[in-house]
Amino acid sequence: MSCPQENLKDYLLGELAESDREKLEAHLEACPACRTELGRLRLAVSAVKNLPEEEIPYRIAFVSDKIFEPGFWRRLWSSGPRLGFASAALLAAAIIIHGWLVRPAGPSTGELAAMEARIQQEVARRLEAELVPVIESLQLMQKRANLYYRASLEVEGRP
Amino acid sequence: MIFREAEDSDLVARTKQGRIEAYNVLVSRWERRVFNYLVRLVGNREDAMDLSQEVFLKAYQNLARLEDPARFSSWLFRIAHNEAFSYLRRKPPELESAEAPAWRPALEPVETALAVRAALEALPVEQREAVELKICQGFKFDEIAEMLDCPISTVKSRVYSALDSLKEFLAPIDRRGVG
Repeated sequence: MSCPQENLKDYLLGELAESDREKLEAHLEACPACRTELGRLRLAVSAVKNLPEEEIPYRIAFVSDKIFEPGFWRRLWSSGPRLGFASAALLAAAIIIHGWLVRPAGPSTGELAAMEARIQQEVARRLEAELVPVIESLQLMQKRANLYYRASLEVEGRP
Repeated sequence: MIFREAEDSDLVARTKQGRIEAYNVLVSRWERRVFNYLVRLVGNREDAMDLSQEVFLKAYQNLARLEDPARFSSWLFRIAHNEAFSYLRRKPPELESAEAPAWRPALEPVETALAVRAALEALPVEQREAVELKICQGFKFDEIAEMLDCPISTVKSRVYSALDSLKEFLAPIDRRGVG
């Protein structure tokens, strides 16, 4: 195995695959030059890693202020049920457009007149059908009443 | 790390619902790391602090665009990267040499710390940033590539070159056995 410099760096940075790591560790056992190089790289990495952190001068904090807020519509859009809102809005729009495009056409004036004439004929027919029997029944009752009246007069006129 | 990502996701979700206190928890969790990243890039504490505030404000205002809340940290550092390089482009070149040293001497073991800081300062800013994100912040190569919007090979090349330079710079300390 040749001496792969990049593999030494990846090894130190934890970016080497398991199989490559094992191969490299085997190589390091047999290669003093790579061990020395690894030691120098390790010093550089640990020196940077252990560099003390700067203290932040003051804490950053946000207050609830309209200036900082992302705005009503952006918050609405990013809220959990946004898909629900969007679906409902689309459905409502589809219903309105459908209702507008395929609304039923109203009857014309001529059709209205014909319809009214048909209604009047029907009403007249039904009235006649209902009233004629009633009138005939009344006329029959009147005849009977007259006969009864005459008969009673004849009975009163007897000695 | 998984636990932290889960917590960040939850805080991001609650912030999206308009709960500012959740965002303040996120800020307190990340402000020191973002500040240190920026101070090592721009070399000035005051400007790094201003930029940190700007980073967290922009993150708050654009949180709705964050599609994967589990990737909040890399998304945040991407904003920080953009702010830092925007600042570096605006900064007049003559001020760069006239300014005070990037880091003040601190109370840590003097020789090593000063040598490391000087070595980092001597690196090109892109390499310094790659080292900061990889070694100090612990991001993976692919995460850094996404943050910086460049190929993974570019990120690797920057880190490798920086390590070679740092190794040479620190060689005298290594020989004297100071670490």
